[in-house]
Amino acid sequence: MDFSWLPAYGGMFFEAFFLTLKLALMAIATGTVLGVAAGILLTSRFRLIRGIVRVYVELFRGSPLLVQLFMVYFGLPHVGVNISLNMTTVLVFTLYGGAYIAEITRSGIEAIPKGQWEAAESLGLNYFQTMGHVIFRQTLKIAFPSLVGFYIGMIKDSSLASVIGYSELVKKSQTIMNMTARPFETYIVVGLCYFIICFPLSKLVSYIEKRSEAK
Amino acid sequence: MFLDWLFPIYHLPELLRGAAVTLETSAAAFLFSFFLGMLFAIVRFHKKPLVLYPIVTAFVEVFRNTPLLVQLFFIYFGFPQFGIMLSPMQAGMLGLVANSASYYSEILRGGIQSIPKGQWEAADCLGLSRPQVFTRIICPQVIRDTFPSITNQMVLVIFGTSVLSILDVKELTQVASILNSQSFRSMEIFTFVMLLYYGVTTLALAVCRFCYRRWFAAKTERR
Repeated sequence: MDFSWLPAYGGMFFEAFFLTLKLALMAIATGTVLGVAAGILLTSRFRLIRGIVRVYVELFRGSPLLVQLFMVYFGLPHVGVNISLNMTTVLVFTLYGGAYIAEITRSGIEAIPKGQWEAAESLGLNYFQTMGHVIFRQTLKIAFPSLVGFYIGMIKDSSLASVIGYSELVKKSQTIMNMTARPFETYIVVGLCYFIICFPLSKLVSYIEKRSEAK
Repeated sequence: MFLDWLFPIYHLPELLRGAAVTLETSAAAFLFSFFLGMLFAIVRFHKKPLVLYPIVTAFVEVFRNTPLLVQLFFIYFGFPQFGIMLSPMQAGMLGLVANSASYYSEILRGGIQSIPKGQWEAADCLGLSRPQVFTRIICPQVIRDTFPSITNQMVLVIFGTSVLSILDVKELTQVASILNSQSFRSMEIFTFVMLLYYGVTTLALAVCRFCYRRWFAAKTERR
């Protein structure tokens, strides 16, 4: 093993690391917004709404991210919609993340005892007030560990964006690898980059889970 | 611009052959990673043997906290630097099994930990040997208790095989990519493949539910 090339390419790694962080954060932000909305709709009283959202969630939870990436990346131009690579990537990650976060949100909402809804109703709160003031903040607390767990997954899954040519850590590292001809060491550094974000987060998740179990 | 939704149907034999490779790969990766994960879980639970414990812990943490894609590249492109040449399938399998075994070890370790200590002691009193206690008493309960997580991870293994397409393993996603580059009927092909994956995972989950009912339903009622 030989890491003597690393100082020369350190800056490139740093830059690439931030590109990955940027993509992951964007995907997490938009995915959460979509997912929470879809998750709330999944608990809707109206069957039609539930049905439509259910189809979306099932489809995107039931197929690999890579196929979804290919479908949008190759498929959209094929039907005449031309959007940039950045847009495509963020769109796919949003749809993918949204589907999973919708399920997490739904199960969180359903974990709240029915009595709370009834109590809120008898206090004269309407649906939105109940959801906003009573249910959702409790849901957030319940869903938090699974949510962070999924965010870790999103950070790691963002590596797949390199396959359609989105310039992030893995994509940039291929360039570096071609220049240094040191794939073994390069991928150790790349792995380390992911590890230093994901490891503390997964420790956080297990800490929260342990604490809530102890209660 | 027109869409030809029959196109994937014309190429059904190729796609199904790809799906078969996906299923075989998933099944093999699932079995290997489950058993390896179980071994890891035992080591992690007992914190013994002393030499293995830190190695296994480090292995599990590293593989759980880095992307599968990077692990596959590391194995496929990195190992030849030391003269270890692996075929795409071998490298893919190795990466997938190592990745999934790490997840299984955490799932199963949690399961083992939640079994009350009294059960170990009771089984000890009955004169069962350590391996017997584990295989007859502890393991079945762990599998029952962690069944949803086990099936969940199994679905992730099926999805994980799609990443092997990047190493040019001829599974479903790769077959679809090849068809796509020959015909540019992207929307039709990938929509069809998405549904195919959905079908495969739904089928796998149905089989799991059947197994669960068959093996554990009577026993869970008692609780």
